[in-house]
Amino acid sequence: MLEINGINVFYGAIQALTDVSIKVEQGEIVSIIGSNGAGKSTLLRTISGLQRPRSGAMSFLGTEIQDMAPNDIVRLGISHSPEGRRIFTNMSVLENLQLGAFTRKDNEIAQDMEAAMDRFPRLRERIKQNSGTLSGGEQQMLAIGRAIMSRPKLLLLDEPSLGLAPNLVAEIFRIVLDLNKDGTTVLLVEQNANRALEIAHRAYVLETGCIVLSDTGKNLLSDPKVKEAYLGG
Amino acid sequence: MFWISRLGSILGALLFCFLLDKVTGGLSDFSSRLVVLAGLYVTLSVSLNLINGITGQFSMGHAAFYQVGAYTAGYLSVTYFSKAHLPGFLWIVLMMIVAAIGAALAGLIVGLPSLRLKGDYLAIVTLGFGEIIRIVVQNQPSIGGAYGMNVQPKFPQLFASTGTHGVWLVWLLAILCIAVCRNLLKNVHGLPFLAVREDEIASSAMGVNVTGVKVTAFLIGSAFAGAAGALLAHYEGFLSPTMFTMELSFIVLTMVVLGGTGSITGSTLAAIVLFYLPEKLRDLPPVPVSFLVGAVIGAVGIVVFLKKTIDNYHGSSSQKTVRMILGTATGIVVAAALGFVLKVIPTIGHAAPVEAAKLRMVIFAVTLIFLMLLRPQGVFAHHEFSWSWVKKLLGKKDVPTTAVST
Repeated sequence: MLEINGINVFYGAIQALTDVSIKVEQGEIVSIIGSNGAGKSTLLRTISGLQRPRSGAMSFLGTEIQDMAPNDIVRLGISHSPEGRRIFTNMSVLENLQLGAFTRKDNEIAQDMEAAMDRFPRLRERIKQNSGTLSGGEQQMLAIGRAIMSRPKLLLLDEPSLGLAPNLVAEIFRIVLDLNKDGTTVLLVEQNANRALEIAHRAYVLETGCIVLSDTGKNLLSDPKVKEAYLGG
Repeated sequence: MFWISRLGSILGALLFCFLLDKVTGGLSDFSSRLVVLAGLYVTLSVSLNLINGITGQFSMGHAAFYQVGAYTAGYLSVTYFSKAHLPGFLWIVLMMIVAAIGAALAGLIVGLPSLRLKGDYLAIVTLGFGEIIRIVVQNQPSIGGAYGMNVQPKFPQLFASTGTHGVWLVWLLAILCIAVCRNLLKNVHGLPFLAVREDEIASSAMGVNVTGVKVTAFLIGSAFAGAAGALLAHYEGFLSPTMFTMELSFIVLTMVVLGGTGSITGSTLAAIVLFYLPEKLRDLPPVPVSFLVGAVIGAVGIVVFLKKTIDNYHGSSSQKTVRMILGTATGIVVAAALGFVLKVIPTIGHAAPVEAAKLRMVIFAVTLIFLMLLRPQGVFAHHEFSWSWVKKLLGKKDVPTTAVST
């Protein structure tokens, strides 16, 4: 579905990603784990067009996307829930969700809005509320809810568990699994490597801008190197 | 129901404009001039609000678009009006459209390269652009250069056949500008504008074409400023680069910020109030020195008290309001009392009264400073006038609206 071939991404003179190649197949959950500054968020930003690769190729469902504008990439069916949630805090929950469906012209938006609120009952309770007043967990749910309003084929999630209490982290991961069961392919970036590997079909380990390992989630969980570096021994 | 209320608003707006025209027809030249200029300022401030407030692009060159519109219309009128054989009223409408297009083109030229810049950088570029336009015009002898340009025909000639004074057209443009901005915000298509103001990266991740939205805001905003410029040109009958200095851009920006960045209601009212305030202050009577001293002490006292109440008082909001009103009233009484008491001091009591009208710009500036101290988010913040808000004030319950609309 998504194929990335040897991309190199720079921030000015600093190279953030070196020759990164990954693949995501239809229906998978693919996790990317790595420590701070490894380039995980940069990879997602590059896929969604917020960052341009200097070289390399990316294709999504057969379309070359490395030179496309972010708004066109969203229209192809890739939705990005960016790092730090980045919800529109001065707007209501409803308006945030409407913006998520901004690229759509069909008449099933209201229906999807209902579905999103069924998935996240807390959002229904607070639909008219200013989204800046939501708690951290609710904001994360809104960020995911907003991202799925565009009916993505591929959902890019950047650190959805960041800064959340353990019970909320569990809930977020359950939701990711649910979304995947309902047919959304997920590319997940996480520092919480344990959880991310548990739910992933396949995973990549990113270290200072390079992919150093790739395997199924299960195999990586028991890999001694991964255990030592990311799973706390 | 939707179309009935929509039709009602349109008829109401037309009626308002024509009544205003009738009323101002009976006023002195000076007063009717103020009404016309106020209308132009409303258009400028509401259109700048679309760029600065709603879309969050800090533009400081609004006078330039006003100028482009004014000179485009002025030049075309001088050159072609006599050959066109069009009724004056149609001609001015045509000029407004042409001026709007001209200014929008100018907006596009500045916008496309510079809208990739953010915040202060964009502000500097637009400021520079404003000056460039002014200085280019100043050095173009073909459009009058620094001497200015006489524009013919003027309003009386243009509107002679309609039996009106043209005031209505000025306000119709202002209302049109308000309506366009308001409908944009009420509509799902307006959400991207607010989203770009809030967070460009998130908007872009949602599929919003960020540059496209910014350029659209710039185009609409500058087009309205240009149309207002066309009216100014034919109303004044004279254009000169000194009418479009940086100062004008700053005044319009002040209107937007003071009214509440992003609030259409705020920028409309602030435009009217800030335009009239310096004019009305001309009428201030001479004030004895003792009262002036009292007023200064009173005003400072009131502001300090209000600021303290806003920041540190933890009561219910109605208690807070009562406290603020009482505090202000006490301040005024103290100021008046001081005015009488200070007369006892010979040097103050025997001094000649001060002509307060001469201090009008000082009073204006101090008012702005006090307002910004007390309400930095602007008078209306990001709120808008709405009928449900009026009902709430009157103590009626808000009618719940159906939740999900797309």
